[in-house]
Amino acid sequence: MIAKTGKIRVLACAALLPALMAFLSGCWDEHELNELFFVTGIALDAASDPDKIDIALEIEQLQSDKSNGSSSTQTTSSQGSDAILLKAERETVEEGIGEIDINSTRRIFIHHNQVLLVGIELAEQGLENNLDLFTRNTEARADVPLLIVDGRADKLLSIDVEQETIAGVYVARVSDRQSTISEYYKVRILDFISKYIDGTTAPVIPVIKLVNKNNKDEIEFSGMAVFIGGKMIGRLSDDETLGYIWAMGGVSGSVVTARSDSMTASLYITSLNVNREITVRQDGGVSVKLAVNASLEIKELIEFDAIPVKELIPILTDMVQKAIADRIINTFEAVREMDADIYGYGVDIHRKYPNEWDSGNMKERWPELFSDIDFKVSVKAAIPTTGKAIQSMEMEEYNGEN
Amino acid sequence: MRIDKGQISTKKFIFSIICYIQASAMLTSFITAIVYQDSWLVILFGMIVCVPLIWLFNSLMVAFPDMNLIQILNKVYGPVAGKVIGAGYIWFFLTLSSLNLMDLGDFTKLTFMDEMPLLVLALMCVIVTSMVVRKGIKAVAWYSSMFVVVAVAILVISILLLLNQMHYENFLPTLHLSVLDYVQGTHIILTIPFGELVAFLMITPNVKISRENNRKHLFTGFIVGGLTILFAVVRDVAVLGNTIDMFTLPSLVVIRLVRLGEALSRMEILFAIVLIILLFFKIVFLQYVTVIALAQLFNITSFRYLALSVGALMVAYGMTLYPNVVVHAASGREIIPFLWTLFEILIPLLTFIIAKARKLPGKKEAR
Amino acid sequence: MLFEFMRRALHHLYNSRKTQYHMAPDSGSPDSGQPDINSSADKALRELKDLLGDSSDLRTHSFRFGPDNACEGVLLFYDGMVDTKLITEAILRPITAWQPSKDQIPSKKNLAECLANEVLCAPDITVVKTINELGSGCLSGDTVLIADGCSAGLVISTKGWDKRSVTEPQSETVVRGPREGFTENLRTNTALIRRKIKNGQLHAEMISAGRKTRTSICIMYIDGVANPDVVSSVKERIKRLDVDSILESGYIEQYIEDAPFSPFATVGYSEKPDVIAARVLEGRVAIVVDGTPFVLTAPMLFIESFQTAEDYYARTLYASFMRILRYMAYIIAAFAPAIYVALTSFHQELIPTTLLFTIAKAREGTPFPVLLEMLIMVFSFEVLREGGIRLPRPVGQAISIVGALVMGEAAVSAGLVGAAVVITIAITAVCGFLVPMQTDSISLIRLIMIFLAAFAGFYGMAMGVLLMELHLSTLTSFGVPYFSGFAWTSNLQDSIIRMPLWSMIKRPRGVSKGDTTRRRFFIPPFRPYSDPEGTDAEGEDH
Repeated sequence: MIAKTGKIRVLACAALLPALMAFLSGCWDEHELNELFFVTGIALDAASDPDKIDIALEIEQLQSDKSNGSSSTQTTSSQGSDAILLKAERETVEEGIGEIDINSTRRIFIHHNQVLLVGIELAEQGLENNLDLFTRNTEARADVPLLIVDGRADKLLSIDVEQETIAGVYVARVSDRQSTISEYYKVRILDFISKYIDGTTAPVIPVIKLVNKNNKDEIEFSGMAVFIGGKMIGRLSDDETLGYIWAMGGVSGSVVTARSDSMTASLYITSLNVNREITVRQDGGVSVKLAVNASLEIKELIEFDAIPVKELIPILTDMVQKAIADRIINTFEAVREMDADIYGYGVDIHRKYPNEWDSGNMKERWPELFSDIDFKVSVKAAIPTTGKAIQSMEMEEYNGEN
Repeated sequence: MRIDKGQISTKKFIFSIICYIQASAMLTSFITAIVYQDSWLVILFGMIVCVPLIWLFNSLMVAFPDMNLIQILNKVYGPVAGKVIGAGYIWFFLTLSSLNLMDLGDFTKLTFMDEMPLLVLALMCVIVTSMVVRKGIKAVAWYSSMFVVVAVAILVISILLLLNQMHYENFLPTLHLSVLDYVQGTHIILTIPFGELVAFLMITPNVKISRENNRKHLFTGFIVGGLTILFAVVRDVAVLGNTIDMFTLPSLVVIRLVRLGEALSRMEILFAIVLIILLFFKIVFLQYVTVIALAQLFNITSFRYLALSVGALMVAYGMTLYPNVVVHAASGREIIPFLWTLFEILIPLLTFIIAKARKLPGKKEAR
Repeated sequence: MLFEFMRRALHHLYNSRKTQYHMAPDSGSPDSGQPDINSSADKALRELKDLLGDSSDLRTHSFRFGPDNACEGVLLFYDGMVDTKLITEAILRPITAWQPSKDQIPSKKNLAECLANEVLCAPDITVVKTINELGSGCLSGDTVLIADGCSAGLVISTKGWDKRSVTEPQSETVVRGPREGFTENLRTNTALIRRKIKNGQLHAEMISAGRKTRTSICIMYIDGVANPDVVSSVKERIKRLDVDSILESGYIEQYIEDAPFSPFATVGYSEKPDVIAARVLEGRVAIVVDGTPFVLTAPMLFIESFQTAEDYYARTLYASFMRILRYMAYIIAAFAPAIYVALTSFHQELIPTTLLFTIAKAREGTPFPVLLEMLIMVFSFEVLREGGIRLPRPVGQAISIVGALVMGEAAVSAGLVGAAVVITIAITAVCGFLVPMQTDSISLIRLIMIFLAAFAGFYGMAMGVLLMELHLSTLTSFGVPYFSGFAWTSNLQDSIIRMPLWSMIKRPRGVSKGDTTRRRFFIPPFRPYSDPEGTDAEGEDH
């Protein structure tokens, strides 16, 4: 079938193949797993030099288990953090990562980055210039949560946490859990950028800090930071954060504590939805009406001895409605003072009344319009069940009336 | 003279059209940079405006059922002018295939393999496509039915996975940009995904179309393909909102955002599959069309030996066409729509008018 | 020039082989005009012995018979291939007891026919006129009778040798279904098939192939259902064979198949008569080869490798589930190692974070790149598998288990390979056993995909898959496209899932031509208990 000369050609082809095999070790873009440093947290801080920023990369340290047998006993990692922290001080983030990359034994791999932490000083100076890398570089993902650190971000990344192996993963996991309560607890880089582009919205970013409990450093979430155009201008406390979350709606799992006289009740919000009604007033101002619909469960009643069982639910409902409305209004007042539209009402008007937005030139005048908003909240709470117990220990005895 | 004797059924024809149009779903960044959240509207406008164009192609296919485009040009314009215009079309198809090949290479480099030289990616693709083209239209069209099913399935899956991240307010405000923006966007949509259907005029003799219900094939394919792009863009706008104009590949960013727990995250593989198979089909088809056009123009009966040469030409041409991606994107927005209009709308229209005026095809052509 | 050469090499590899057999004279065929039998028995005997050679197991028996023992006759047979009792009972006894009266004595010319028709007690006697036929009859285990003075000889069928009894086939075991398997004897096999299809339209045609072995090959098909083009194509290809020996049906398969260099088999085989009967009923052609229990069927489509006999004896839901499982297993077996290599070398971003850290931790300290690890494991798996087949039975089991455990465990502990690689290969191996008819394609594709994945990650794999699809799309098995079962135009009831038997009305298109109706009506089974009057589910009122 094959001519004599053809035979030699086939042999030549077969001889090429081993030469081709040389391609296979050392292909472009091929990185063995043990040639990579997996970055699990990036921390940006203000450097002592005002032009520069401190960049710290937290790398998951996988070499701590020296015995890598499959049937060996489960080795718990040695005490002390599993993470190594690599730092650089440069003008841009990319330069910093490049410097770290050149000086490490392995290639820096950002694709599995869990969290982006920014130190509070840098946030006050302005954040928008440093985020361009994360949208442009294909290795960096835009759904990484962004958090502000009250203090130095790299210090936070280096501590040893108990619940997870390393701090970056810990923060990301807590943020994930919080986002099951409400999606507004977790701010991704994409969300931040989206709000920044809006122009009128003030992005908020959760804040974490290091606290010292029992001689151990631990990470705690404390409120949110309010930004205007990339610079941090204020903070929301934990309670105010709750007000913000509730005002945005779509909450499931938050806890309300309602107080009245000496009675305290803790209720669990199973679902809370908000209907926003934003209208432009005659005088050009804006009026916002929030209609909150909440469904709750009673979790704890304290000092409810003077209440008969029959009136429990109505009284509780009143208390709760007042508590929710109060908190939302509190947060709004706090934010109104900062002139920061964290809720995105401006964008809503732009979407629903684009003509008035353009003609009234509302975008430039938004800060004053915002402080002038006519804000009303109406809460409707429904408490379907009382939990396992019908009456608490201290309430009046059930004496066969109902 | 029929160069490729293979015949494909009308079903394969329809699937080929759908697959071809779907491949342009990757290129939506051309219009999202102009019309932001109204991209879906622009696509809808584009589809409506394109209907007469499809009707024009269809009429050409029906009027000359056994002749492909080059033969039609030859007949309508006479031997000299017809050959000149035919050569122009060969350049057009070659450019199209090179651009798509470069797109495949660029997008793959951008998303997955940024260290791999573009040449290697393009070469690997061209070797495979050349082998497919050698087998003729039957092999080329064979892929389309599978790819369409996979692409639609992945589209549906991605929409389902992203439902929790879609906000319908991202579509507002609608119709609020300047009219010129809409016109520009519509023009781009008209020429780049839909107008390129002119390539299907080259395979008219290979498709078994009867004279009676001939309109529905082209239209079915066009509508289904257009709907796919529409849904893809709708999904992108709903998830990304106002950030959509920042990204070169909005679909990639959107699929990266999928996160239903830790297990269902990092689903870019879906995007990669769709990208590679759809663009591969488009490149194969366009290379085939180029080869057939070349063979027709120069009266070569065996086209198989041209395939690899055309492939090499595609690679060389594509790599030297644009110096960088920015120029490519700018050209895609500003220059290409006008250049393509010449080939996709003006010349076919002129051909059709002249053909009707000269009462072509004559009675003996009508089978 | 290299390009040209590579082009030609690829052209050679991917085009279907044009069977250009040159016709060779088929020696040993009875029609080839060989010399007639000499009337003298001695001379004829000598000629025959020259033809057959002088072997020690060729027995001759001269005897006298007829009126006054006037006629001489010679019996020839090969010892061990004949049933000597039959010779005694059917030939010698009646012939020696033959005492015709004076007017019944036939002439010398008609002696053979007279013996055949009136005297001998055997049911299968042929009168032959050429030495070659006598020779081939003797070689087949028949007894040859030469009468002195007659220029015709008799070939009497007395085949009787030691053969294996019909037992359960070893390569295809079933939980439910018949446990008969073919044996090495052609007649037993054709009988087994004929017992399943008791239809006069089942044709069986004998061809013999192989110059030295002269193997009998029987082609069976149902006239009116099988595609006549396929039948004639098969017959022609076998008749054109010019080869020394045909020892097994695999030889025939490799000589007549459409694409010898394709990893995909286009001729199917089986060891069970019910499987072959089912395929013949669908319109295929069965090729039974003497000397092997494996019967070939042509054409074979891709879809058949996923259909086992048990699929049809089990009920719809379970059978569909197993069918889908088989498809998934095939994909895993062919692609899993390549996907692992691609993911861990190129696309680490696609692996969930915690899984990635676990794999990376396991890979710390292993010296080889992933490609080499994977190749080592694939190689060791193939070695273990092959060794397990070749080793004698009592030792084989222990070696394969111990080998697998020890090698896997020790390799991981020593840090030679990572645990994830071992697991991947183990799953791949097990999945490969679900689709036994595609084993060769799985092994080849697996290897090629591993190399492609190591070269260019998923992009390389994608190109490889596209190339493979090109090959598959142009692959035909005896004129029927290889993927016939999956196209929109064919009956899809039997492809991915197995729809109920009562829904498969027609035979598969493309395979059969002619009578395509299997079953006349689409009737779901009659449910006796769904009585609208509301009697018991058990139907106690009935």
